[in-house]
Parts: sequence; C-alpha cells; structure tokens
Amino acid sequence: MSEKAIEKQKDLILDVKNLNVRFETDDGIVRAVNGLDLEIERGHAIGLVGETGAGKTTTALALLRLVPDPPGVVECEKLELDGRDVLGMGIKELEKVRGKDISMIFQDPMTALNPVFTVGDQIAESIFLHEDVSYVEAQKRAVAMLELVGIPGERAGEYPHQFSGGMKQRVVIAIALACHPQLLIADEPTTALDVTIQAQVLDLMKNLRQQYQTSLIMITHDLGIVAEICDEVAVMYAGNIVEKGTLEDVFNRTKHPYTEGLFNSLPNIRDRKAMLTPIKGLMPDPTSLPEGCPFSPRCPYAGEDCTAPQVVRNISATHFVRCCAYDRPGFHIERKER
Amino acid sequence: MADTILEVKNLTKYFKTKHGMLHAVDGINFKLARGKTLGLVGESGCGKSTTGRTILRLIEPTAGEIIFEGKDINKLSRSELRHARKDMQLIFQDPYSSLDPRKTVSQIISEPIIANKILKTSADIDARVAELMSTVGLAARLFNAYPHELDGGRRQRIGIARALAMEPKFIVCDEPVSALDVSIQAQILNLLKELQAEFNLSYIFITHDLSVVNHFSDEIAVMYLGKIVEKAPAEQLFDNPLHPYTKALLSAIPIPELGAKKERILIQGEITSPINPPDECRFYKRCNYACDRCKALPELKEIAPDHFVACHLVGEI
Ligand SMILES: Nc1ncnc2c1ncn2[C@@H]1O[C@H](COP(=O)(O)OP(=O)(O)OP(=O)(O)O)[C@@H](O)[C@H]1O
Ligand SMILES: Nc1ncnc2c1ncn2[C@@H]1O[C@H](COP(=O)(O)OP(=O)(O)OP(=O)(O)O)[C@@H](O)[C@H]1O
Ligand code: SF4
Ligand code: SF4
Ligand SMILES: [Mg+2]
Ligand SMILES: [Mg+2]
Repeated sequence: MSEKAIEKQKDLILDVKNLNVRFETDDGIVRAVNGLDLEIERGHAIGLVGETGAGKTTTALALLRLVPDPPGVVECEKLELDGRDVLGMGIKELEKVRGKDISMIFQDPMTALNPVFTVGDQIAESIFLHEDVSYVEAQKRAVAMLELVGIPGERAGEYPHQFSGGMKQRVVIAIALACHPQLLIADEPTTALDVTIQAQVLDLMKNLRQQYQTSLIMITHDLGIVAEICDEVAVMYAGNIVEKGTLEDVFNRTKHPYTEGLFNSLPNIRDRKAMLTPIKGLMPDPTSLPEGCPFSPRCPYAGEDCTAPQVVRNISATHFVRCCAYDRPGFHIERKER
Repeated sequence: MADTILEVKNLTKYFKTKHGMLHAVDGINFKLARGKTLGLVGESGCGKSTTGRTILRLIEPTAGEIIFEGKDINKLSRSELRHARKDMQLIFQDPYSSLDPRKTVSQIISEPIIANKILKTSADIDARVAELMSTVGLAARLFNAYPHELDGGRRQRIGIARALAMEPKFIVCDEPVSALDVSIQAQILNLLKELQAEFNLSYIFITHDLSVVNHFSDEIAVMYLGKIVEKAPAEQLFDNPLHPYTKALLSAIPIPELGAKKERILIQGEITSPINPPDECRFYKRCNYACDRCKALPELKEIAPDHFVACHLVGEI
C-alpha cells in the first residue's frame, strides 16, 4: 500500500505539516519550532515530552494560533483540526473553535483563573460563550462540571483564592472540558501540584477522557506521567520531534540517542545505587542552532553524516526517528530493547 | 552514630499570623552523620524549607536546639555565628528570586569570597570564580552575563557555585534540582555527589521528588504538617514504608516504565491548615485508617533499628 493510501485510513483529529515558529527579538532570531509535523488520531492521547525550551508550549500555542505577534512569526503548510483548515479561519471563527473544539490548560494554572469572578461563573462563562444556552442553563452545567471534577457544587459561588492549588487545577480542568472539546492540550497540568494531588488530578483526567473520548496532547517533561496516561509519545528537541511512536516503541524500543539520554538521566526508583548517566552539555542556544542535527554537540554517536539536515526514518508503521545514524549499517544505541 | 555533624532537638518554629499560630515546624528531632545525606520530603507547606532555614539560623527558632559540630548555634555570638556560617551553606529553592538581578554572574559568585576576605586580588578572585563556574558547568562566556539572560538551569548553577565558594562542610540543598531538566538534573546530582565524596560534605536534601530523594539520600525523613511522620534508611523506607501517609506518597510516584505495577493508594483531600492544628494525628483527616485512637497525637517511635514511625496503628495495618 502506498503511504498516501495508509494516510487516508487514519481518522485524524489533528494534522500539522511543517510548522515553523520563530521569535524575532533584539538578541536575535529564536528558532522555537522548526519544521514540525504532527498527526494525532481521534481519541488518542499523545505525550509531548522534552526539556525546557524544546518548543512544547510554543507548538501548542501555534495550534491555537495564539503565538504572540510580534515577536512571533508562524509559518505552516497545513494545520487541520478535525479536517477543518485552521490557518484560513477568521478571528470570529477561531474564537468559536477555541474552547469548543480545542481547548488548552495552560502551564501556569494558578494564574489561569480570574481572581474577581467566582469559579462557577468562570466555568459558566465558557459554556455561555460557546454554546447556545441561557446563562442560567450555563450556570447549572457549571455546577455539574464542578461536581464532575470532585468539588462540591455548593462551592461554585466561591472565589479562586478560597481554593487550594489542587482544587484550582481541577477548576481549570473543568473549564477546559466544559464544552467537551475534541482535543485537549494540557501544558504541564500537574507540575505545580504535590504528588498525592497529582495522582488525584491524573486519575480525574483519565476518567474524563474515557467518558468523553477526548483526544489529548499532554505536554510534560515527566516520562512517568506519559507512561501513565498516554498511548503515544513524541519527544521534542530544539523545536522538532526527534522520535515518535507508541508507548512500547519509545519506552521499550528506544531509537533516538536523545531519548536514550533522557532515560539514562532518570533516577531509577528500584535501583538507587545505579549511577545517573546524564546527557553531556546543555541545550543549544535557539538563536544559533548547530548545523544539521541539533543534538550533535551532545550526542555520543555523532559522526560526520550528522551535519546534514535530518530527515525522518521510519522504523515501523507507528515509530519514527529523526537520526541519520540509522543509515549506518548495523547501527544501534546502547539502551537495550526490553 | 559515630561522627555526628548536626543534631536537631525538638526544633520548633511557629509563625504568628492573623488567624493564629502557624505550626510550620513542630518539635522535630534528628541527627546527621558527617559525609551523609538526610533527605527531607513532604508536600508543599509541610515545613521543609523552614526546617532548613531555621537550622542555618536564617530564621530564629521558636524552641529547640541545633547542635552543629558540638555547639548549640542558638547560643553563638554574632561573630561566632558568622564564622560557623562559612561551614553551613544554603542552595536555594527558587533560582529566579534568589539572585540579585543587577549583578553579573561573576559578581554573584564572588560576593561571599569578597565579603569573607577569602581571596584578595581580583586576579585570584576571577580565577576562583572561573574554576567554580566550570565545576558547576557554566560556560566561561557567561562570566559577565546577568541572571535574566540565563535559563532556570543555568541560574540554579550560579546558586550552587556560590554556595561552594565558601568550601562549606554542610549544605542545606533546598530543592536544588526541582527547576532543572532531567538531563541537567542528573548532571547536578552527580556533581553534588562527587563534591560530597571529595570534601566529605554533609547534606540536608530537601525535595518533593521522591525518585530523586531515593537516589540521593542515605536516610529519609518524611514530613507532614510540621512533624516528621517517618524516618528510615532510604532503602528501608522505600521497601517497607510503614506510615499510611508514606505509603500513599510512594504509591503516587509516576514510574517511567511500562507495566510497572501500580497499586495506587489514593488519599482524599489535601494537606490541612497548619494554623492551630488540633492535638490529633496530623494525618487524621486524610487517613484511610483513622480511628478513635488517632485523636491523640502519636509520638515518633523506633519500630525497627533506625526506622522511626509516628502512627498509633503501626504494625496493625
Ligand atoms: N514570546 C517569546 N519571545 C521570545 N522568545 C520566546 C517567546 N516565547 C518562547 N520563546 C522562546 O522559544 C523557545 C521555546 O519556548 P517554549 O516555551 O515553547 O519551550 P517549552 O518546551 O514549552 O519549555 P518549558 O518546558 O520551559 O515550558 C525558548 O527558547 C523560548 O525562550
Ligand atoms: N515567614 C513566614 N510567615 C508565615 N508563615 C510562613 C512563613 N514562612 C513559611 N510559612 C508557613 O510555614 C509553613 C511551612 O512552609 P515551608 O516553606 O517551610 O514549607 P515547604 O515544606 O518548604 O513547602 P514547599 O514544598 O512549598 O517549599 C507553610 O504553611 C508556610 O505558609
Ligand atoms: S543524527 Fe547524529 S548527532 Fe543526531 S542524534 Fe543521530 S547520531 Fe546523534
Ligand atoms: S495515627 Fe491514625 S490517623 Fe494517624 S496515620 Fe496512624 S492510623 Fe492514620
Ligand atoms: Mg512550556
Ligand atoms: Mg520549600
């Protein structure tokens, strides 16, 4: 079967081709996202992992067309949400889509709520804006949403400052899910929370996702969270996806040297004496990315072939890697398949 | 314990607030052996930072003794305290707010060297700063950079370089890697371990990341609302947690492996207010095992060698 034919069969909720985002600042041009392709099938949950500055948040903002301009400049070949072209949409249409079809939980949950409105009103507002209902009806649904995220409905009249961190985050989730979006982007939704509260919130997200068949992009740097709630993983480095596959592909049949480095950097909870083997060096400066593979200055497998621009190598129908070392005969990384 | 560098007895810190007394640290006891690491874990607000800061006397304790190298540091005069402080350093939790934005990287790192007259000529000082920068992995070109030009990871490295500048014996590391990426975090953890081995440093390592604390600590103390609820050698704590809170906490760690067995103990609600807490077990409101006996505050008791637990039902659950 040709690749085109395979593509046709997929039921894509999101289809992005060649996304580029740069920030034109006084200190130079920050190349935040560089030729990113991303396909997400309906109902799937994909973990977008990568370290600070990899371009995760910028990618998410670009999907919502929320990259600040200036200094941001976005170029993209294709951006389709549920088969609809988002690039060509006017502001009015976009505003309808945001919150209704695609919604986002922002990285800093504590500032996502407006301190002067009650939490009930904030949820109701989103429903009222996006759906053809009366405000009274919207408020009723807001109360139901609150209860869904485990907060007693009678607290709808309280203000954000009366809630703890974990409860605020659940309110943010309630707002994001109030209009049953098809795609939810959650940007580090539990980073600010304690682990026992994180466990509650992840549990909640898992349940709600099952209930509403919501597709999910989970942005995180925690591979443990990915293992827990995602079906697929995309590993980002310097503004592009360097490896993508199912959980089994990426965790158990790791291919990219950077992904290997990430796993080797993690303390092993079961073997406390195991030495950590960090990736050497630092993230490249996004204003002057190295030629060819951006990981080459830190990569233990780097060779002369790595100075050419990297293209995708397919490992299987579900798994790809952006590393030319796989063109070398017999090449493999040290991490063993499991 | 053979060579104790630090002993804390009944350490207590209350803050007066509008609504009453806030029990940030509520009568905790522990010893730290020279060259070892005590990990301090627990949820936000349980009193970890306050414990660290009180030990360094950056905050005056409400009660208790802090015996460092055989001396109660509460009883030291100003000049003695200044001297002792060289041996005791702090690596801060928040690399953003702890650095003076108007100073360059080299000025920040050299500040304690100059203030304590460790080195005098600017050539010597610059050389030492350069050495410290390379130790913590800061590129030499950042010598004259300002903190705001750097990312969180590099800013945290400045804080570590600055703490190392005094060649201390003991460091309170307050979430030193929480703001860092895993690849950088691993570099810093390895670095802190190497420094420990080289200079026989003793650490109190504060974190909420349980896989990090497991990797890094010899002993771990779990705090909850100002109290130590369990303390044990790291391996034992992870293999055999006995306090209901510790059990829930450890079960909540997301493990970056597929098919990792997960028997999650979900606990309800969140940490309660530390203001005028009632004299019941501090975990009473969230504990799945709470019973009438728990209305009395449990003592921290040695259940097995070096394994301390504060729970009435230990052994029964
Ligand atoms: N408004 C902006 N102006 C200039 N540069 C920006 C802007 N927003 C982001 N950047 C830069 O773009 C790059 C990608 O940033 P982004 O926030 O997308 O990373 P991230 O992967 O989300 O990182 P983190 O894990 O820290 O949230 C970084 O180098 C960042 O400094
Ligand atoms: N200067 C202060 N005045 C009043 N209350 C304080 C002060 N400093 C800390 N507290 C309170 O003391 C308690 C313990 O705070 P502390 O910062 O020690 O917690 P922590 O365990 O370090 O938390 P985190 O993980 O969030 O850093 C909290 O309830 C906090 O609000
Ligand atoms: S392309 Fe080369 S430098 Fe890049 S990850 Fe592969 S081997 Fe390493
Ligand atoms: S003393 Fe009671 S309430 Fe406290 S932890 Fe033990 S069982 Fe739970
Ligand atoms: Mg981000
Ligand atoms: Mg703290």
